Amino acid sequence: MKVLVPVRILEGESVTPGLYDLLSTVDVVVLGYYEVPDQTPAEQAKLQFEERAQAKLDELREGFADAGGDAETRLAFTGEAEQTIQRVTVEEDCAAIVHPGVAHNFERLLVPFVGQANVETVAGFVAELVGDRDITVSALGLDANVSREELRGALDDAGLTTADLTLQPESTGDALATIAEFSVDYDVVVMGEPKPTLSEWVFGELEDRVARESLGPVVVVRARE
Amino acid sequence: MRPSAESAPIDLCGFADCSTVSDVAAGSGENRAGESPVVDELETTEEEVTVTEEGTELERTIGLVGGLAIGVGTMIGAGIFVFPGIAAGQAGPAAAGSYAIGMVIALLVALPASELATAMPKSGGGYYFVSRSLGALAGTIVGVSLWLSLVFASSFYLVGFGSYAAEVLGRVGITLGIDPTVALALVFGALLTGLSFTGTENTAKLQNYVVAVLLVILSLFLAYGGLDAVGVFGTQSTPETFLPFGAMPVVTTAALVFTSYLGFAQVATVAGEIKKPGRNLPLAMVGSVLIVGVFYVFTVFVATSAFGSEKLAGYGETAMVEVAGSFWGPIGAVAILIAGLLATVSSANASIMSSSRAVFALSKDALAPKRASAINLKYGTPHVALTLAGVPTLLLVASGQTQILAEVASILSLVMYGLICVSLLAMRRNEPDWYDPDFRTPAAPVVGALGALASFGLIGFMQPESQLVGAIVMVAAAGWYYYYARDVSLKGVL
Repeated sequence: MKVLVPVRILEGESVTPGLYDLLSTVDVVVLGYYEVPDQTPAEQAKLQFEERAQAKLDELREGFADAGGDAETRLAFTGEAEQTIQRVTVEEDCAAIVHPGVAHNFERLLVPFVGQANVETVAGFVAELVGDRDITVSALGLDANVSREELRGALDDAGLTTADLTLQPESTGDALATIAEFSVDYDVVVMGEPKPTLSEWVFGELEDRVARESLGPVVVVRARE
Repeated sequence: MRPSAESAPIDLCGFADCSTVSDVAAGSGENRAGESPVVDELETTEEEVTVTEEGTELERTIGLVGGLAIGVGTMIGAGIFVFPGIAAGQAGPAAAGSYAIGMVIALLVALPASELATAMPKSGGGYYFVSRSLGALAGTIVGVSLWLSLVFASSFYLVGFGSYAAEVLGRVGITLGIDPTVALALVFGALLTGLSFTGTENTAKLQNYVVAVLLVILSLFLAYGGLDAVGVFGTQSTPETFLPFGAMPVVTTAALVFTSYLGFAQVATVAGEIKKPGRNLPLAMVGSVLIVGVFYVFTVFVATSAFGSEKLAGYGETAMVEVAGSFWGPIGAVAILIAGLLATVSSANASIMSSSRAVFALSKDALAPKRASAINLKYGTPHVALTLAGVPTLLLVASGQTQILAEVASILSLVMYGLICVSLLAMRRNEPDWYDPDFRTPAAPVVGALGALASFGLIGFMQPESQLVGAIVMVAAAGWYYYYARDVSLKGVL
């Protein structure tokens, strides 16, 4: 199972120790990217910054190696970061995209279920990520359409029998605030990719807003057909 | 006058005649500062990304619509919002024919440029093809011409913008102590350059919308005007003599308004950023020429039908505002004023950005100092190249000479266009191994030869002052090459 870690490599974004450790159970693709404005051809930025970016990327690869994991790296210069991340995710067939954030520990995972994300896929991903490590998983049901039984069943089927489960149905609009509130007590948030809705279209994708609100890393499990 | 044909010793021997392909696989030589051309590693071009040999990825982010918007957006500002009055004054209703001549010449160049661009989908456009096919001297002349042609074109568009802004002020009733056209053009040009330093992320997307809005306004205007001209609304205009001044002014006017077609080649300057280049580059270049050409011909037809060319000429740069006003009163005038402001700004902005790409291409090949392509990390913008594009633009705006600015821009571009056609002939005569274009020009020898003849020939119909300025630029470029970079060799370096 592969996950993608996109990093704005030349603008000080980095990976913190907690994330190296958390991701040691999965294959990691670190995508270092530099987004150029319309004035600048990607090629021009590459000529000037490639070496510096590659050196930084090599540091990150070592970080993952030291934590006992495995990481491959890719470097991209792009006018459209979103397009690059999408393309690489598909090319590498990644199961999740990680917003790096800041994490010094990885003991407590918050798993909010929101926006009709696929419950089985998310539960399965979390189980594989956690493996046999001693990590507390707290599921948070925010989706009024998904019952407690359904969530419990999915968690148990995935082998997350010890995970605790809180139900707090909210409209999607308030989900953001609720997740932010809960995430204060957790190291990492793992969530499914929500179905696109009007408010997503207006305010930007929910997972991006969650990543901005919570300081820690946010792992977004891709919805796959 | 055909300066380039004499001043550039063009080597037509093709590739295999002069050297074997393996000999020319790498750029070589040093310039005066001891810098060598940056040789690209082997690259693979995929649909949405170029991957270098080391694995670094360069994303391609401009689609077909974006490419068309660059071409149309750059061109349409001049052809419709600045020239119709001036052109009608010189050629009468036959000015429509002048635009048609311009379109044919532009197409004759767009086809070879498309073929070369799909064979070498790299930043730098015409400069890149010519330097790789004909060598570093021709490359330097074309590169410098491309840079300055865009500088002249930007200042021409800005003066056009100034005319529209002054017209707005005049209608609102504000009077300034100074000539408002040049003052407004300067202020706005400085603003545009300043903005480009800080990096704008969505100008490309904005450009798409601006072009869409423009095309809608113009379509409505032309549909109404066309029906009006043939008498549907009961005010059939008296037919004017089609060729009041004879055939010659039609050609000289074609030379003047050719600036309206400088823009399709800008698509090639961003060839390295176009998605699916094999398909989108030819479609965007040829398509944008066809779209604007049809709009131009119709606009002149409608404008001369509405007013008669003499009256139209009296209104000068903002003649279209009067035409729209005569159709729909103040609302029509305001719509065309807004369209004119949008169109000239988008043209100027696109040209400043392309101009900075031309500087980058020269500097990457060591024909200009490496410093010229430096990027600042804070904004991610090439501040030196943008300065080299923006500052001369402002100096030229201060001259306020619409016609000379336009003609010099055209001359410098036409030299490049002619050499693009010559490059096609050279490539086709003896195709190197690496030459594998996705798009092949039909009847290439004929199209290439006609394109070259037409491009160089059109220069002969411009005003002597403009020809002189053009010649000085090219001689200076050649001088720069011999002074700074005579040891640099680029032919066949991919």
